[in-house]
Amino acid sequence: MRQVLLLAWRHLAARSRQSWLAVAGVALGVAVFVFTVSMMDGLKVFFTQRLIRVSPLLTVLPERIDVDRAREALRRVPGDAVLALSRPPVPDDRPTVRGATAQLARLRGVPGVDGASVAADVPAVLSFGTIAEPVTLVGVDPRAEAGVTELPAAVVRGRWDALEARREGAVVGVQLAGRLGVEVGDRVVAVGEGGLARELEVVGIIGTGLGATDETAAFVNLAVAQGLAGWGPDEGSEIRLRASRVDRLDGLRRRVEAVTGHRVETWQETSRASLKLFRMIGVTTYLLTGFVLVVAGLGIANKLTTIILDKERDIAILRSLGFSRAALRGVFIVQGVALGAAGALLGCAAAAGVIAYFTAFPIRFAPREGAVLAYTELYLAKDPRYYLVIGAAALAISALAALLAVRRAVRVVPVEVLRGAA
Amino acid sequence: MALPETGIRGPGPGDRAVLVARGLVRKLGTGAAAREVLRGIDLEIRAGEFVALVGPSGSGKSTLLYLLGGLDHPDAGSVMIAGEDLCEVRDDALARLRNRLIGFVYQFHFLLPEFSALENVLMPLWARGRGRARAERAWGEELLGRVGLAGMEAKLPRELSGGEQQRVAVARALVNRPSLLLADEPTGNLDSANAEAVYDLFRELHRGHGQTILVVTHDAGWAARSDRVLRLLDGRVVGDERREGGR
Repeated sequence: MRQVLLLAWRHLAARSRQSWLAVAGVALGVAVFVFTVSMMDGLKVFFTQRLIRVSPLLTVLPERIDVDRAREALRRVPGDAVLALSRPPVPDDRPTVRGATAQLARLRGVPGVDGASVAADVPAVLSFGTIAEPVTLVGVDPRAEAGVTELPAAVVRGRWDALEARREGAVVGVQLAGRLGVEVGDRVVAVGEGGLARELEVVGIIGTGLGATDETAAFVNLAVAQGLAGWGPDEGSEIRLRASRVDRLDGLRRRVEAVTGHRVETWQETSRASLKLFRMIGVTTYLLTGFVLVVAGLGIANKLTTIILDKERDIAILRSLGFSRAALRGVFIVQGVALGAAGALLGCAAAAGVIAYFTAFPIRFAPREGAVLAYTELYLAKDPRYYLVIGAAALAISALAALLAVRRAVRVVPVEVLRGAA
Repeated sequence: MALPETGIRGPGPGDRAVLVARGLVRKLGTGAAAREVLRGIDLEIRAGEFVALVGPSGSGKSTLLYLLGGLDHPDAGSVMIAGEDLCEVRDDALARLRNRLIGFVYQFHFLLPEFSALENVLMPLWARGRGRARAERAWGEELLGRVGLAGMEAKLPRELSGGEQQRVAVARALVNRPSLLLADEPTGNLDSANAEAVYDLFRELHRGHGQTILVVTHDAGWAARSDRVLRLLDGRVVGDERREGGR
């Protein structure tokens, strides 16, 4: 084995510039891959953390499970069938949760539910002076909401609890406030779909970092939203729940559905479009950066193929001197793995250095109008698995490249080469 | 060039046959282009013989040598060296036999450029996972001394002259104490002074240590000074002259 290692080392050392280039290729691929994964995961963590802070973990929706089942059953009935219905299959034409107070009381007794609040999302137009903006008025019980989300902590100017003191108060999304030109203390007018209008006082400006909230939402007292929508005092568009365990939402969802009879969504389902977008961006990025790694692997295959072509005569001599095919295969695989390992180590070290640098001196961005997420800082996730998995992948690609290249080396027939060389 | 006694072999030809070849046939090329280069060669070389294989270009000398050295396979016939049938084994097993029984010197030195003279000499031992022991390194150094390259162990091939490179190749061929030393025009690429030095080395190996040697050569001088001359023509042995002791 020592001889195999020595032969491999001498081959590499004899072409040190080529060897370093191959190592640099792998190192670059590994570093770019680790950094990209760290950045993509960082973005996802950044988004998820912000989302979980200001969104309910579970949302009880107006749709009733029995109605969903009835709809599904109707869909399966043949077109020419005659049905006798004892009551309308879709009895509820108003998309609200009824009997919200009783539901809340029941839900607060469900194990695993840490907090519950009713919300009424109502479309409206908010105007200040001559400027009018379409908004979603989110009617909440400010105190109950504080037990479900961290919205109060996201208020950047003014105070969340002022909503409790001031029935006609409003906490306006920071981007929306910017477009309207309002500040804390200003008075705005909200007009609901039915034409009802209410004058509201801005008591807070909220910046959640999530575009959907900061751009178009204004939080008001539940009764105000219900009034503008023409709903009763026991109606809401959803019931928002806080769970004690973020990682065990499926079981809790089933229990809540059993208690309420309504369909329940987890925060991942509510944000499925954004999460899917992240997944797609992630997959695309991983494919592109993975491609860099494969190209680096091809670089190693190319380097080894060059050595093998160049060394065909020496390989024939080694065979004629009694070296086995396995030993020669070992010589070149050791070279491939050595190049891959050196590249992986250097790449991991470089990535760790860059990640440490940007963590110490983060890049900051100006918030962008209309962005899904106010991503104001390059957030890099750190996980040793990035290095292990990507380093191992680089090593595997290098070994594979060596295996591909080495096939030629072990096929060398000494007599053909030596006869040609003589 | 005086060589120290190492006891590789006792001097002078013995009765024991080191190499026995029977009915060797070798065709080169395929299909209609195939031609018979060797046409039924029978050959026997005894321990301690110094044999020159001569013949015009294209007579099949090198082809025969590659078959006898286990580097090529005959289309028919057999080759036995020190009782081992080279035609019965293939691939790695054949490489091991070659390593153990045969030393090969080519027209070109075929040294590995990244390795020192001593490492090149020890290479056949490396093939068996050996060559690191002090005694084995000392043996390699002794062989280099025998071929007149004492003190040049650490030199790389590019730092040696053509004659010195060929002498390193001879030392390499001897490192496993082979039963048979085969050489394919070992001086064909050297000037006359270096050719004479290599010839003297072979002669000394034969006379001083009883090394069995088969040399393919175009050089009439080599043939004249060998114990035995085999003449090859059109793939057949057409002459087998023995001389008492050579010159």
